[in-house]
Amino acid sequence: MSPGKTASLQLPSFLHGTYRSVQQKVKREGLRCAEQYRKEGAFPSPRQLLEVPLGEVVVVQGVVDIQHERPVWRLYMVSEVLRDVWEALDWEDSSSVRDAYEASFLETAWGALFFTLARMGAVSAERTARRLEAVLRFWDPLECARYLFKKPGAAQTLEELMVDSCGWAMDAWSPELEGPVRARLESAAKRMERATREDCLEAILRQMPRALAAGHDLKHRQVLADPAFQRERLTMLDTPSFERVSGACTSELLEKLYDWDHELGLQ
Amino acid sequence: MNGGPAVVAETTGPTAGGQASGPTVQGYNVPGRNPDSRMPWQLFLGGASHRLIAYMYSVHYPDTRAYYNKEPIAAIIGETSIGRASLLLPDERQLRPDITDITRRVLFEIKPWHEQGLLEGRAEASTYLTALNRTILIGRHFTGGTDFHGEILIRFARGQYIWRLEWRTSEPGVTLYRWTRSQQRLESEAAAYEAGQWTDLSVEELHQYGGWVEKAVQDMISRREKLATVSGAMGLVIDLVGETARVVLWGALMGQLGTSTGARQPPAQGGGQVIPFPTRPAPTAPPAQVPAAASMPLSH
Repeated sequence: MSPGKTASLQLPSFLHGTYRSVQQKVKREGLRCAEQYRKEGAFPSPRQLLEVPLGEVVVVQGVVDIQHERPVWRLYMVSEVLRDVWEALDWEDSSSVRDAYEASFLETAWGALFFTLARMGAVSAERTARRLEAVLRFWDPLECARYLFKKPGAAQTLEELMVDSCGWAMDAWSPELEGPVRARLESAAKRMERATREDCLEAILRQMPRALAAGHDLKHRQVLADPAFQRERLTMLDTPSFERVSGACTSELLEKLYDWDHELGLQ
Repeated sequence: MNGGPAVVAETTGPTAGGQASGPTVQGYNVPGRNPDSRMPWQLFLGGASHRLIAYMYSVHYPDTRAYYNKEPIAAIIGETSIGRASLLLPDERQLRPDITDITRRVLFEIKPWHEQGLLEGRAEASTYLTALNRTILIGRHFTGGTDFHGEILIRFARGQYIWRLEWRTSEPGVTLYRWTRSQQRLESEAAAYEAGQWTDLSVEELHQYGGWVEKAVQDMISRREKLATVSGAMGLVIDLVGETARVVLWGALMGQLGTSTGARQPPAQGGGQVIPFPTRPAPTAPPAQVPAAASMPLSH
């Protein structure tokens, strides 16, 4: 954190506690949010925000939250608020509700980080740019905490977290840059924001080898690895399907590779 | 001495006495154990086992988008937009698969390693697949996952035995797990590993796991991740402080050591450590047939 800055990170109080207590608090918050959304078409801000002490750990992914009994910040459980909102609204229009919820809370530090990591909906260039820009806006306060993301015992700095979670965006969209993560993310976000379909295509093709490497059980590797094959298949995608891969996110590309692998197997 | 305590696993939250509470908890009763029995010690730690195995799945498939540990299908569809959540029947929305891998379009149900677990797992996997596949708009349908197996050695605080969590996907979509322990009391995990004396475990299976871990480790290295190295061993260190698990095992250990059973107090310094262990070279022979689930006799 830059010296002289007084930024501190604030998180909603309903995200702190043991797993069970957070679950209960989040359920109440979900009902409250659903109520207001139903009446006014908008989500309420959290009633109480608490300052996170410098260096305190925030759990940002459920799969590494192995110790449910420890009281800790459980940012990943924002997904349960959304779930309770959906439930209260009887699962109608879940995409619109989700997008509205995200739009509201991208304006907060906690929402910016949560939605950047959650990658809900289509992981498009445009949506990712918005998410990254939100994190960048709140970079200083977010630097105050440490994060549990991939490994249960190893808390990371914001920078390390962003490399782990959004490294794919930097590799795809600002590959030539070195240096501070913040700068690389800024560059990637700008490019993603104004990317044309052809720009996205180029970024995807650049990232395909990385996705292929991650798919160790793909059966038709030789065909799948051919850029001509990839380009041909990508250009055939309809708009919603292309949108899902347009950000060039590794897991989305890998999903497509498995699809194509399956289709090749059927021939 | 009348064997170990009957224990019931709890999925979440601290509980005095280690008893299950609430209708949502999955309980697996362990019958009182005959000390003369050669039956492996089977402990069903419910939530802790699920969380550990799910974590290991995420290690094995690091670039996959997957949902773990009881996220409802409606929410999974709602978050990913691969389908339409409103296509689910009302009683399907809250179904919660143990592992839902969106990228590879496979799912796994994690169950205890016995006949009942296998049957339940099979039925649940089938139900979950039907529900999920009802909603799909983008990409392939889901199928039952295969080829997911492994093990973790765990030493609990003050425990003199090394515990082993092992899992195998015995049929598509059904991953069975079991706990066993080292036959002897051992001071160190390295000794336990070298001794290789696990109840109900073959050396061949140890070799299989070594190869699997080596692969996972190599995957991690290829992503430039740092690994803890402890005197030449490579592996994972996880602090397992499941309070209920602690209570259950402490009671079980006390029973096994011949002191009064039913000790319910957790140890003053709780917790445990997942033990790193030396990698072995990958087996040159093809892996052995995944064992069918062992059936548990109803009384012994």
